[in-house]
Amino acid sequence: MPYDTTYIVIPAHEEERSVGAVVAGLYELPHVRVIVVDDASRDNTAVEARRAGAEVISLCTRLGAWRATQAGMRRALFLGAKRVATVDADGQHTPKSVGILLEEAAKGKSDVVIGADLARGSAFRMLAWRLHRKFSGLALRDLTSGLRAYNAKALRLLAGRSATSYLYQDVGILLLLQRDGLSIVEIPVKMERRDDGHSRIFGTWASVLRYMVYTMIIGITKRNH
Amino acid sequence: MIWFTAMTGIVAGSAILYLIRRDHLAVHHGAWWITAGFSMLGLGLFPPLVNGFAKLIGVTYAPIVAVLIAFVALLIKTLLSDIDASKGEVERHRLVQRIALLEARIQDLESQQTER
Repeated sequence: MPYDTTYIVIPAHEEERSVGAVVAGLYELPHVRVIVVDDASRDNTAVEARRAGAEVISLCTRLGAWRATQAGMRRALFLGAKRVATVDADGQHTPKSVGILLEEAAKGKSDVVIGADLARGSAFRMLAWRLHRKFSGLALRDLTSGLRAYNAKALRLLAGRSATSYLYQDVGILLLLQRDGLSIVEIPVKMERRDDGHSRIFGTWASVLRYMVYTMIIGITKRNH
Repeated sequence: MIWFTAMTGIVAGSAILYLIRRDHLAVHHGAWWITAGFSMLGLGLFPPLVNGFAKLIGVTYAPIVAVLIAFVALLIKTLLSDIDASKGEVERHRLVQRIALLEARIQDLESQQTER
């Protein structure tokens, strides 16, 4: 029986130092094809990703991680993808944990599989997750994980216009999936600590504040009853 | 005072007409502002209109009615323009994605040609 190729979409903004190794690592997995979406980087992200064997699509202006991911999903759908996994470019998701994620996704028991690492939560991140769980009514633990696998049904929904207005691939996207009755499961994985740089969301105080307010509004206004 | 408000209306009205004529303001946005300009002109030239309306709805201090109407009108207009901006943003993001996807398609076709 021929295997369906899993497309792995990696949104990358100025990740020249890590993206090559991430792509190379992912090609150790069977039946994968890697698409790196270069989110208007000014460094050599696209060059490094291509050198490691990824297909690179480049955005001409910066759209942010989620919309870059969505561009990659649209490309994957065009190429006939039945399943897409999203992986961060900074190396925090190891090929091993992506493998575990894909194995779970291949069972076909749910539409969306999230790789959750609850150990990575600082006290603040835990508080943020708890708040957002409360506001959004989502029963998931790791709301901000960028390590996810989507099946074709989820992909078609997420590639659409209604998903473009979101800024992050987290609460808003999850509520959208939940609203359409898609099933979401979490599986535990172990994530690496970032070698360089910090979380894009939990970076500076200003970005934390923007994220918290934004996500709270999403949780309150888009909550499914 | 009448002349001041009337002049404001006239200046605002002509500025709007000029902006539409020069394509700085799209016609469908202009419609709102022309209405606003004419209302200012009307109320400026005939203040009794405001007084009469204030009496009708039972407000003792008439000028506040004009201020209130202006405030609500501006609030609605700002909301409408933010809704417009939100739609435009999604449109722009989809287009940026579409350009990247088309570039990828061009690359596909080019590499197919070199293979031949």
